[in-house]
Amino acid sequence: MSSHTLGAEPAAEQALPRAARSLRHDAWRRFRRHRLALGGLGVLVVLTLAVLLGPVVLGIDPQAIDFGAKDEGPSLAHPMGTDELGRDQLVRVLVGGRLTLAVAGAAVLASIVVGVLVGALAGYAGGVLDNALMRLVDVFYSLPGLFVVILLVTLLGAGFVTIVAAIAFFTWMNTARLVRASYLSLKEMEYVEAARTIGVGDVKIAIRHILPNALTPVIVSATLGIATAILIESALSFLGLGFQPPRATWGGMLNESQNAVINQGHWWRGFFPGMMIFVTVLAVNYVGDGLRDALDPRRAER
Amino acid sequence: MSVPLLEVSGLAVGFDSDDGPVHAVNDISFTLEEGEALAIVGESGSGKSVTALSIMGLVPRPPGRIDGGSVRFRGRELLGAPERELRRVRGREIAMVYQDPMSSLNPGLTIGRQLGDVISHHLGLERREVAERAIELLTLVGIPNAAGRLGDHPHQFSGGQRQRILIALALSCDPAVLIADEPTTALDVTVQAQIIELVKDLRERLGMAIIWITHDLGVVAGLVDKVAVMYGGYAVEQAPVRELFARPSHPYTVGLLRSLPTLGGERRRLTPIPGSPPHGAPRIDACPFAPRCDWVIERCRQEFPELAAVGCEHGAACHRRDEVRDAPTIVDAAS
Amino acid sequence: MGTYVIRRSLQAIPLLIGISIVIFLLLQMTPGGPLASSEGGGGRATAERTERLRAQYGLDDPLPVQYLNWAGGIVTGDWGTSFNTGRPVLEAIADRLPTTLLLTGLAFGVSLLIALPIGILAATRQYSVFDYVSSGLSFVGVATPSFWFGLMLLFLFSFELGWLPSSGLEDLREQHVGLAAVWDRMSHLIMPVAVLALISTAQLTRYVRGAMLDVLHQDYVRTARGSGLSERTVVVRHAFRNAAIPVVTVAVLMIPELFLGAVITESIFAIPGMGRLFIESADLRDYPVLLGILIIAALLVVMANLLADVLYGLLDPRITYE
Repeated sequence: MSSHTLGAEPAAEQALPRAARSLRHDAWRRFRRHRLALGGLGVLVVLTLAVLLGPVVLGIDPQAIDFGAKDEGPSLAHPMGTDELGRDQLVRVLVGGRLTLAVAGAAVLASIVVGVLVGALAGYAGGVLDNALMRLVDVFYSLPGLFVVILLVTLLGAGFVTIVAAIAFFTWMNTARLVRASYLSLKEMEYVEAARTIGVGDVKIAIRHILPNALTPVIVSATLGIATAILIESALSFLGLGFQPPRATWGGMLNESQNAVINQGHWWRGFFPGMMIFVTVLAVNYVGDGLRDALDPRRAER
Repeated sequence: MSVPLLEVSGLAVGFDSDDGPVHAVNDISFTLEEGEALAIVGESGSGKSVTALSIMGLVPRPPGRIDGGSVRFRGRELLGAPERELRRVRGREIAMVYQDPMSSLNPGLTIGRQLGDVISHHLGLERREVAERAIELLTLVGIPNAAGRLGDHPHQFSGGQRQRILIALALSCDPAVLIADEPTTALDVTVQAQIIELVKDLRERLGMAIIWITHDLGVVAGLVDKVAVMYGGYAVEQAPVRELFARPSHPYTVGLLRSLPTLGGERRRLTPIPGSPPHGAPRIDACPFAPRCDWVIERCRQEFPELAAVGCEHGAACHRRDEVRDAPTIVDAAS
Repeated sequence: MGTYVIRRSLQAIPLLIGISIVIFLLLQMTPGGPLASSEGGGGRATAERTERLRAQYGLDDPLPVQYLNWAGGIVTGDWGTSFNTGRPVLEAIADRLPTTLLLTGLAFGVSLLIALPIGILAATRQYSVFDYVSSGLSFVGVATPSFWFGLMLLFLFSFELGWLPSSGLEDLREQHVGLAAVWDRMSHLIMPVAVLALISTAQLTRYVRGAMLDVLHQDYVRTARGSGLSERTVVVRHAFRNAAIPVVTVAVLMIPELFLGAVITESIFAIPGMGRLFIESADLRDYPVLLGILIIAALLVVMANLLADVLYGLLDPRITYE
C-alpha cells in the first residue's frame, strides 16, 4: 500500500528513530544533575576562552625578553613569574595552552575518524574482514605505545601533523571496538531491515542509519581521549621530543623548567604549566564521567 | 500467654531512590508460634520480600530505612539491634532460603565449604563432625552422593539442586524459624512440586516454624496454617488458611483466588486482576486497592480501611469486608 | 589446564609475528631509510662508511628479506649489534633491563599494597567520609601528570628540604657500607618509585573499589550475611575472594604500562634504564637496539596478557578447559 509510494521513503530515511532523540533530552537532564561534571565543563570553557583571548587581552608578547625582570617569582606584575629571559610566564602558559589543546583536539578527531572507519567496516561487513581488522586491533593494542610514539616523532620530526598522527596511532583502537560493537548489534535492528527492503544501499545504511546511534558510546570515549591526548603530548614534550622552541606546549615548558626548578628552586616555572595540564585533564575527566552516567542510566551509582 | 516465637508489629520499611522515597512496607503485623507455618502472599512490589529481609536485618541501609514497627523474636527486639546480636540470630535461630538459587550461592567456593563455614561458625564442631553434618544435611534435602559432592562448586548443580542446597544451608543449625522467599519461583513446575514436598516433609520431621513467601496462592493450600495477603505494602487480609479460601473477605484475595486455575470443578475463565500495584508514597486517605477493585464505593476513595475482624482470627482491610466475606465464592475450601 | 596454556601461548605467536612486522615497518619510515641521517652511525658518516655499513647490515636487500633475517636472528638469539657502540644489542639491553625491572617491580608492589586495602575499605564503608575522600583522591591521582608530580617532589624534597637525592641510583661521590648503603639505595628510589606508581595506584584503587562494590551487592554475599557469618568472613572469604579475580587480571595488565611509564621516570631522575636507552637510541637512529627494545616491550605486553588469562582461568572455578 503506502509503502510503495514515494512518500514512504523519507520516513525510512530519517537518520534517528524518535526514541533516540528523546533519550538525548533525558541524557542532558541527567548530565545537568552532575555538579562536578558541570563544574568541569565550566572550567573547560573558561580555560578555552583564556587560552584563546588571554594573550590578546593581556597585550604582553610571550617572547618579550626583559632581563630586568628575570627569574622572578609570582607577583602582581607577573602572576606566574618570569623565566631566565624575563619572559612573563602567564602569557607563555596561555599561548602554550593553545598549542596543547589544538594538538589534543586534532589527535582525538583523527583517532575517532580512524576508529569509526575501522569499527564500522568491521562491524557492518562482518566475517573475514571483521576478523582481520580485529587482529589488527589486537596487534596495535600490544604495541608499546609510548615507545612507538617516541620513535615516530624522533624519526619523522616533531611537527604538528606528526605528533597528532602519532597520538592517534595509539588511541584509535578503543573507538574502533566500541563502534564495531554498536554496528554488530544495530545492523540487526528492524529499522535497518526496513531500510534494506526499500532498497537503500549498504553504504548509505551504514552511514545515515546506523552511524548516528553507534556514535553514542564514542562520545564518552572521545571526551576521555582528550585527556589522554593531552597527557601523551605533554609527556612527549617533557621528554624533549615534542615541539621545539619557540613553539611551546605545557609539557615543553615543563621540560624547559627542569633545571630551574630542581637546581635553582624556581618552582613556579614547573608548577604552573603542570597545574594547567592537571586542571584540564581533571575537568575533562569529570565531564567524561558525567557524560558516561548521563548516557548510560543502567550503570550503578558511584 | 507465653511469648510468641516471632512477633511483627506495624513494620514499615522504605527506600530512598532517585525519584523520591519508596514505601515498600507500610504496615504489617503478624505472629508466629513454634512450629506454625505462615504464608505471605502478594504480587511483586507488595512488600513481602522486604518484610522477610527486615526480619533478618538484611535490608541494606542506605538506601533502605526502617520507618517504624517492631520485630520481636522470643521477646527480644530485632529491629535496630546491634549487628553482633543479629549475627547470633541469623542462620542459627532464624534462617532464610532465597529466591534465586542461581545467584544465591557463592560461585567461587565449594558447597562443602559454604555449608561448613556456617556450621562451624554457629555450632563450633570439629572438622570431621562438620563434614558429617554437611553430608547429613545434603542427604536430607535429597542430593544424591552427598559425600562425593562436597567438593563441587554451585555451577555443577542444577537449579533445583541448588535450591535444595540453599535449604540445607538454612537448616544447617536447626533454626526455629525458616523463611522461604519464593523458593520455587525461579524453577520449573515439576521441580517446584518437589521442593514444596521437601519442605513439607522437613517441617514434619524437624518441626520448625515456617514463613513461606509467594505470589501464588495456590501453592500455600496444603502447606501452611495461616495466610497474610499483602498489597501495596499493607496487610490486606489475614486468616487461617481454610478460612481464607472459604470466606475471603477482601476483594484482592477474591481476585487472587479467581485467578487460580483449578483441577476439576466447572470450567471457567481465568480472571486476572486488571491494573498494576501502587508504587511510591502511601495514600493514607484512601484504600490502596480502590483503583482496581470490583467492589469499590465512594467511601473507598475517601477513607483508609483498617484491618478489622471479620471472623475468628480473621481480619480484612476493606470497608465492605462483611459483604465480601458472605458473597459466594467459586473456589472450594482447600483439601 | 596445561593444554590451555599451551594453546594460548601458540595463539600468541601469530600476534608476536604481526607485531614484529609492524615494528619493523615502522622503522623503515625514516625518510631515506636507516643510516640516511647524518647522525646515523654515531659519528661522521662518510659516503664510504655508509656504503660499508649498508652492505654489512644487508640494508640493500629487499624488505622481506631484511625482515626475515632480522626475525630469524631474534628467534635464534642474535639480536644484532648496535650501530652506535658495536656491542651486541642483547648486551646493551641486559645492561639496562634490570634497572627498569626493579623500578617497575617496586612500583607494582607499592600500587598493590596501597590500592588493595584502600579500595576494599572504601567499598565496605561506602558513602562514608573515607570512601568519598579516597575516591576523590584516586580520581585526582589519575589526572596528575607523572612528570609534574616528579618535578614538584624533586623541588620539595631535593631542593627545598634536601632530604632526598635528585638523580641516579646511588651516591657517586662516596661508597657507603652497611645501613648507610641501604639507605643510600632506598633514598634514590623513593621518589622515582612514587612517581611511577602514582597513576597505577590511583587506577587500581578505583578498580578494586568498583570490583568490591559489585561483589558486595551480589546475592550470595547476602546469603553469607544471612547465615550469621562475621562481617570479616563475609568481606574476605566471600566478597574479596571473588572480587580478586578481575582485580588480579587488571593488576597484571598494569605491569606493561608501568614498564613503559618508566621512560618518564628515568628521564626525570636520570636513571640509566631501558627507557633512557630507547630515547638515546632513537636520537642516534640506532636501529638494532631500537628494534630489540621494542620487541622486549611487546613480549612483555603479550606475556602479561597471557598471564592474566591464565590466572583468570585458575582462579574462577566456573571456567573449565578441555
